Amino acid sequence: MEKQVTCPGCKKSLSHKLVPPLLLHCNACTAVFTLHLPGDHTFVKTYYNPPIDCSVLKLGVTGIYLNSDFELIGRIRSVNSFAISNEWLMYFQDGTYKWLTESTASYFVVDNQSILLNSREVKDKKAGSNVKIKDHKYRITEISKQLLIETEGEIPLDAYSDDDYFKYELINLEKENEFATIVLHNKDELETFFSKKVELNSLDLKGVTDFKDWI
Amino acid sequence: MNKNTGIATQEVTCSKCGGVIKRFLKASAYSIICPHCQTTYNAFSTNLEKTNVTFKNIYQAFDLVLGHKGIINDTSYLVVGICRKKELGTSFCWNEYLLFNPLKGYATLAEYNGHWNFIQELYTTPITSPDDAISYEGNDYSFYSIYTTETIQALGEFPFKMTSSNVKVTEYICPPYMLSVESSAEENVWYKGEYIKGNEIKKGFGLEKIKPRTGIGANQPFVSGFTPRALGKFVLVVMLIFCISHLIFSYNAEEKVVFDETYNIWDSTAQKEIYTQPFKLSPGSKNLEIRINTDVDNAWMYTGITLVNEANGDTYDVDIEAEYYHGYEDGASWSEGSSWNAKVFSQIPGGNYYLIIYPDKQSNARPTHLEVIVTRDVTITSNLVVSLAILLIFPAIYFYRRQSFESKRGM
Repeated sequence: MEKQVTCPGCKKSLSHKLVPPLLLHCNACTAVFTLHLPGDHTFVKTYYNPPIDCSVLKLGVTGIYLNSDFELIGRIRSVNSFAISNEWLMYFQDGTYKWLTESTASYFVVDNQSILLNSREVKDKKAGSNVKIKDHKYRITEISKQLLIETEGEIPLDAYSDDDYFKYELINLEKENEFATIVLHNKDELETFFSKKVELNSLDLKGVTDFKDWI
Repeated sequence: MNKNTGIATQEVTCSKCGGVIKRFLKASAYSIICPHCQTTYNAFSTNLEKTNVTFKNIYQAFDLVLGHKGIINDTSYLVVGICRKKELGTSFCWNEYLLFNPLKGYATLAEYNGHWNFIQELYTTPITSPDDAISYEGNDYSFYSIYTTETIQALGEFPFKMTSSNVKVTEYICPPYMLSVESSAEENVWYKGEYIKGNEIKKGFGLEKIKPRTGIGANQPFVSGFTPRALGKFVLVVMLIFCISHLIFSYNAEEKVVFDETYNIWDSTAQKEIYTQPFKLSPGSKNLEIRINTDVDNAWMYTGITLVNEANGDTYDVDIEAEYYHGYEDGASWSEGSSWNAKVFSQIPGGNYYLIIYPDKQSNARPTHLEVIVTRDVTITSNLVVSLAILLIFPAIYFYRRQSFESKRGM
């Protein structure tokens, strides 16, 4: 259910769907603030609206994933040492969410349920090395460091981290189109997320950016 | 809005040379390299931030330019970045054009000596076998090369960090496809390339001319759409058809002896013609075999034979020679020739015929037996053998040319 909150920056009334605690971005005054309980918001910083890019996705786009309707209500734009990714929050009607990650115009649906991994699994490993996660063999395809994070819309507070953390991207060697991301917040805390590659046209998207004259 | 692309372009000014840089990718670009002076910027934040990455500012005539829109594989792409790479330690250089489509994502066109490849990132990891081969999507790839690349020139926008640093590349080919893996301590990414004819690039991007092709490309197919397997299957099928046809003709062949007479040829009767009794050939136009059996021994016998149609006087001539020699020389036996021989007329109409035989023999005191046998509608195995031999010429030429082609691949 949609709820209202007043922006501490410009007093504009904003709506949100996620249950607090969450991070909200006001695109009118570019303020970013946290919301822990209804009415209990804390101003974080005056920010800027994330720069315009070439993504076909934007806030408000709706679609269907695994027979469930969703709406994109938040975005984390993350710049790492090699590339840029957009993580769009897919909010489902039952109040659950997943992430639609966009990396160099390829798309992955990331489950927000993560598992913890022992640091021994990736210690001293380089790209091309194999890692065993939940009895499946994965290969490291990229090791990067987060350099910049920007947000828009609403995102769960625990999904926001502006630390310069390291991230391992892995590919499942046993199951096609399945991937994993290991996030190293510190040397003992290895959080692993799982994702599946999707084609945009399989999501029955509505309201995407219109690029005229493109086939 | 750029009318040619449908993408709203931004324009920024290079802080070093003052040149205008068009931004098609905008904030989707990680790196921007000024096309005028090769100054490199980080483009992922609000403001451009100059980096210390340097590229050579050399003149290079590229076939495609930044902002060039074209169609490849029915998809409309925009050229957003161009770079020139070099194999470290050699003089081999090639051009790479980064293509972008908002819906289909990124792809690369690589050009080397007029040979083009359309390359896309693979979101899978092909497994390499111990003998350094790969089986992927039903195709068998063999190891082709391993080398280190260096980017010597770059211009335009790139959605990833563009550096001049070296990357190790391993390539596997199964023309027209190529699999390659770029590896470093931080990245291990696979790509799949497909050979594209220059004419497709020329047509897709509306170019008036394109760099001519020289040599053989790394994954240039020998004959597009005509694999050795397909050729082998084709030859086998045709051979099978020939053999079955031969069996059917053999089964239905009349093989009827219509004349069989034996003559004693003396020196005194040699070179004198013999008129035979008439014989009847079945209706229809069929072949006719005339065979001579002799008892020549270290001697020869020559027979000129004329087949005469009693009704209309039509004649058919044939010369048949039998010679047989043998002996013992230097501790070993030898022999050559044969005491019999046969010739076939291919199409003889039915009717009543007789033969005029002109025998000639090596002069000696002993008579020579000459048996003349006429057989209607015989099976000719030599036709099958010749047909199969001719058929095998095609794969022989194919494999010779292919071998010659493969020996020049990538040179």
